[in-house]
Amino acid sequence: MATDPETMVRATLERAGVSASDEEMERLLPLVADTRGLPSLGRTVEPHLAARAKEWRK
Amino acid sequence: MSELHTLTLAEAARQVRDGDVTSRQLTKACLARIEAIEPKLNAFITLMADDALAAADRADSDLAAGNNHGPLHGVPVAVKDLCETAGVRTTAGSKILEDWIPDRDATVVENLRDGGAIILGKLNLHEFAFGVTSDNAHYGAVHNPWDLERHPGGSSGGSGAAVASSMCFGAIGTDTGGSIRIPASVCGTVGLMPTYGLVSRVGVVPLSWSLDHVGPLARTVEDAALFLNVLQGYDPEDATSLDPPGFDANSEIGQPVAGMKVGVVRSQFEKIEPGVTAAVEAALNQLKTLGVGVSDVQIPMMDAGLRLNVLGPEAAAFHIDWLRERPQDYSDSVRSSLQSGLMVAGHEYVNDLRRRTEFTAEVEAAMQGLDALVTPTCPAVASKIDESRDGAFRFAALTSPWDHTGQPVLSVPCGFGEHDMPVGLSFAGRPLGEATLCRLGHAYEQATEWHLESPDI
Repeated sequence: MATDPETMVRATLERAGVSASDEEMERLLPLVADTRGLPSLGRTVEPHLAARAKEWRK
Repeated sequence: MSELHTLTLAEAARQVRDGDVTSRQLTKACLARIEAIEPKLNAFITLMADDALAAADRADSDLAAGNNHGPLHGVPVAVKDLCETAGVRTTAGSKILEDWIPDRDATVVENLRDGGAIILGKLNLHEFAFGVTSDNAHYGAVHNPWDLERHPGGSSGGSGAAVASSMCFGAIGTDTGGSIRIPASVCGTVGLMPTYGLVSRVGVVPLSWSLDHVGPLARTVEDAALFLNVLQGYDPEDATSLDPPGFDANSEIGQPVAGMKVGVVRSQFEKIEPGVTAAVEAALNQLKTLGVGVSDVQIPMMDAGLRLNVLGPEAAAFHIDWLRERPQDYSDSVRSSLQSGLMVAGHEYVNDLRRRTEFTAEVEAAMQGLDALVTPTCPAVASKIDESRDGAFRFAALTSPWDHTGQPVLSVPCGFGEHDMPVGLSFAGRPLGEATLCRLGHAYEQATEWHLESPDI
């Protein structure tokens, strides 16, 4: 069972039949954290991603 | 004659009806204005000059023969390029649809034509209406006529820029999280998001089916009301279409507002720019001067920072096939936004639909005894285009809650904030309460001169 956000995001994209390059993942991860709200990803959010999401929210 | 393009929509329509001006003269004046300033604004994706002049000539001939087609007879307007136009390409601001030529008009376009309006062209927008800056990777950024280095809001940025700069007398916008009201606010125009279901979405490229609204941007409240009257109407092809008998957004304009009551959603004043706060507070004082009762209200879910994951998954659902087959044809930012919509699980989406129902009930309760709720339209003035590529979604923080409730919201200019850029004030009303909102907005407008300000371009 995937626990880190990147693996979870990749798995979800794969299930939807959508691919994402590493560069796209760089953009997508903070966006996902922001879209779902950090509590949704909870403890699985890496500190640096949380910081980027916080920055994105400004 | 050279200033014809600066008339209000209502005055232009009256002059055509009375024979003081022809539709051809109005149309040529708008086309001349477009030719002069479009290179600076990039508000249009497709100009329909020949079609517009031909339609204007038909309008003039019909009027001479005693056939008045309606309140917009002979008046030039423009349409967001999200709306299908028969025989004219409809791009939705995207590369994916860059060559799409529909064989039908959207119902709103059909309604405009039936109402006598002249369609000048198709307006630029944020790609697939999924964004708030109209910084379009495929057709170029739209520029704000008040400051060309700044964005015009979005997604209906071309509509805001074109109306504010008098390229047309009114324009169609669409609103899923604020896309009519944000450009109206930051371009200094009026924007009216109608009650969900009042205006048909048939033939309008969807963003989020349960949130999409279609409505007008114009330079005055009366203009927006007249425009909305033509756009609206029952459409059997739209499952959400309403059929209110005798709807008339213009019916209360000019009636006194003393004794009316508005509630200020004070929690929404947090984290907004000081200049926006000052303009909105001054507007609230002006309303009090008019005899309107002004009091603070609490809406707990909104006060707590409402966040519902509905738009993202609905947008992803519409785009899923293109995301699989043509991902390279989206801009990076819109593709990422759509991909993030895929991350919302089914149970989360369903639970947020349930929370939306609770939120709507909260708003209904908060409106007891009130005629409208008031907030700033946007938390900030338009930022510079280069500075707005990240984080711009905060512009929708004050507008998106009302897309969820589906109630009508009118945004009117209420002054200038930071960098001398326009600020908007929003009145949120009861479902099908557009006439009451226009009554309030018109009274405020007539007591101020903000709507008479125009960009020097």
